[in-house]
This record gives sequence, structure tokens and C-alpha cells, in this order.
Amino acid sequence: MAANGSNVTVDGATTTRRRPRTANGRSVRDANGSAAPSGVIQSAGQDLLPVLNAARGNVDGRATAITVLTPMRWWGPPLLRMLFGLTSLTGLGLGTLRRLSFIHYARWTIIDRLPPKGSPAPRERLNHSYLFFESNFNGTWDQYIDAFAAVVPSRMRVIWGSSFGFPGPLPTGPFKEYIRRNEFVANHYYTAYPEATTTMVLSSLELEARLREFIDRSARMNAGEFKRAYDRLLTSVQRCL
Amino acid sequence: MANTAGQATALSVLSPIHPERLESLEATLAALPLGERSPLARVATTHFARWVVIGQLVYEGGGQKPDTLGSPYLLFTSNFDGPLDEYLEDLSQLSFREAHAIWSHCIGFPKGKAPRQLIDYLMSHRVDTTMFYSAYPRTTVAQIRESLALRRRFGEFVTRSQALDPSALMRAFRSAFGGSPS
Repeated sequence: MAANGSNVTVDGATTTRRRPRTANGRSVRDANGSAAPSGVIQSAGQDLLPVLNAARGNVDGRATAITVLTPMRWWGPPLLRMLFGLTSLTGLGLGTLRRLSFIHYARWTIIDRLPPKGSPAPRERLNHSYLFFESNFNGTWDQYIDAFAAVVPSRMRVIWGSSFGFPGPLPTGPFKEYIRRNEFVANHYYTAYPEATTTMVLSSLELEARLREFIDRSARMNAGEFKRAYDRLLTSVQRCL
Repeated sequence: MANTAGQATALSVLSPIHPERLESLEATLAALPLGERSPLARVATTHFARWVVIGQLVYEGGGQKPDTLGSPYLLFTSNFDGPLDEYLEDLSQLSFREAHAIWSHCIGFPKGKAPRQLIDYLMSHRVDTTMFYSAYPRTTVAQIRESLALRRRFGEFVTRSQALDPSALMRAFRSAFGGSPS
């Protein structure tokens, strides 16, 4: 856990981000007024702490990290395993993710049990499975959540619908609060190309392919032919520059 | 399970932290240099990686039975090129000092200082990824960096070559990017 209490600035915009807070031995209550045992992070309505030191938190250059862990109802894991299995096998649904053109890498992991603590300590038992979601994207946290909610609301309902407390993606206000409650801040975050957005990476790869093809194709052209072909190349790769 | 997407691999490691060593671990992580000086940068196949301390699980109510962790957990995730064994081999060789300093705060971490023990510990605390997505699953870090550099170079060339006549343009282009007839 990183230091609390400062603002994050990404792409010139300053946003205050919040993270879950442990109850530190206090008995806390959930949104319905039920008492939760001490040591459990409180749900809605608590005094959430603002986050964070940008340099040591979820931001590296243009890249931002999201780490979310949500408790699931019993029927969530089999449903999501089926859905994700189908997506992995057929690629169905990946096109929708690609429309969110600011995501570099993302993953969903269903955690049914915690790894061993080693003899003689017993493995910790969980009452619920947890859905771990990680994303590496460019842009601000708010932009990310807004876009996710606007572009793939039905898919989000399927993925997080079995998670306790999920309010639905729209309106985004309660949904953002939900993510903030269940989000953890990176203590160390690294990206290999912090200067690049996802679009820049994809544009560069496209440009490179076209440029290499042009280099081969133009090798035997005279100056006039070269100039005409070069101008056509520029037109075709303009959006990649 | 979907620990791979194209040539990319997802690794998640979840390891219990000695509660009394939590502050020391947080200080160790906070002291790591960032960016290209990060120990994770030494493994050149790493696209994105993070260490996150999970202090406690969230209680949302609404029928959820609270889960109270007996100790905090350290989550490490990485998105990298190639197979897992090669990545762990590189991590344990090239960033051993920092990796050992970090995971030695965790319960069950071996007392020895052999890179093999670190690899075995990470493997035994691995969590399989259910769904893994990459916007460019077939592209390595090296290819991306090369491609970004080429894009920059070509952009500069376009700007500075605007006034050149066809012959000078062709010579300048071939000088910058190759493609002369052999």
C-alpha cells in the first residue's frame, strides 16, 4: 500500500482517487447496517481516504494501473469461467475490448483459494471466490471508467454482476464509488514504454509494416516515380504519424 | 485458464506477508527506483508489471460473509513476452537482489539465497489467469520500442524533407531508411 492523501495528475488533469481503508480493529457496518467483524474493510458510506502519490502509485508516464478485487456470489465463478473460456477459444467479445482503444493489457482472474502459507501455518480459507481485475491503460482513471461503462455496459453487467455490491455500470457515479472501494493502489508500477499510448503502439506497428513494404517496393524507382509513391505513402500513413 | 495471449504471458503471484514485516516491505517497495531504473526494467521482456499490497479484503454486505485475512498478501503481476520459465529465470538472475529483498518479507519464503529457490517459491504461489487480453498479443517489447523509434524518426524525416526536390528526397529517404537498389 502506498502513501495516502495526494492527488494524481495524468495528462494535465488532476483527479483525487480513493482506496479502501482497513477498519483497524473497529467494528464497521455495511450499507445495510449489518455489523462486519473487525479487520474487514468497510463498504459504502465510510470516510474513504484519498489517493495518491502519482510517482509511486498507479501511474507511470502515460500508463495507469487498475487493480480491483471483488467478492463473488457462488454462481459467479462457473458462469465467468464459461464466458471467459468461450471468449478465449473463439475470440468473441475481444473486438469489443479492442474498441476500448486505450487498454494495453488486461486480465481477469478468479481466485477460489489463497496460495499456501507453508507448513505449519494452514492455508487461509475464503468464504467467497474473488474476481481480480487488472488493467494497464492510458488516460485518466475517470476517462477509463466512463468509457468502459459507456461502450460495454452489458458485458460489465455479466462480468461483475455476480460480485457483491456491484451497482451496475450506469450511472457511473455509484459505479466509480464501487471501484474505488474495491481498488488497491500499486506499491510499484513499471511499464516498458511509458511514453506510448495503446493507439501509438498500434499506429507504429502499422506504420512500420507500410514503411518496410514501401522501402522494398521503391528500391528500383527513379526520382519521379519515387516522389509520387512517397506522396501516396504519406497519405496512407497520415493517421499513424 | 488463459495465461497466454499470442506470444505474451500473464503471471500473477499471491504471497502472504509476515504481518509484523508489512511496514518494512512497504518501505522496500517505496524505495525501488522507478521507470527504466526499476528492477523490473532489467527483464527486457516485461511490458507491464506491478507489486500491490492487499491489506484486507472488502466487505460489501448484501449477504456476503466477511473474509478476514490473517495476514496481508503481496500481489505481483507481470505481462511479458515468451514462456513463464524463461521469464522467471531472467527475473531471478537479473533482479535477484530486489526480488529477494521483497519476497523475503513473505511467509514461507526459503531462507537460502539461490535463484532457484526464488523461482520455486513464485511458482508455488502462482494464481492462474482466467482471461488475458492484449491489444497487440503478437508483439514483443523489443518490437514495440523499435517500432516507436521508427515512427519518431519517420515523423522527423517528413517534417525536414518537405522542401526537397524528388531526387534529393529519394537520396535522403534511402540514406535514412535504406532501400537503395542492390
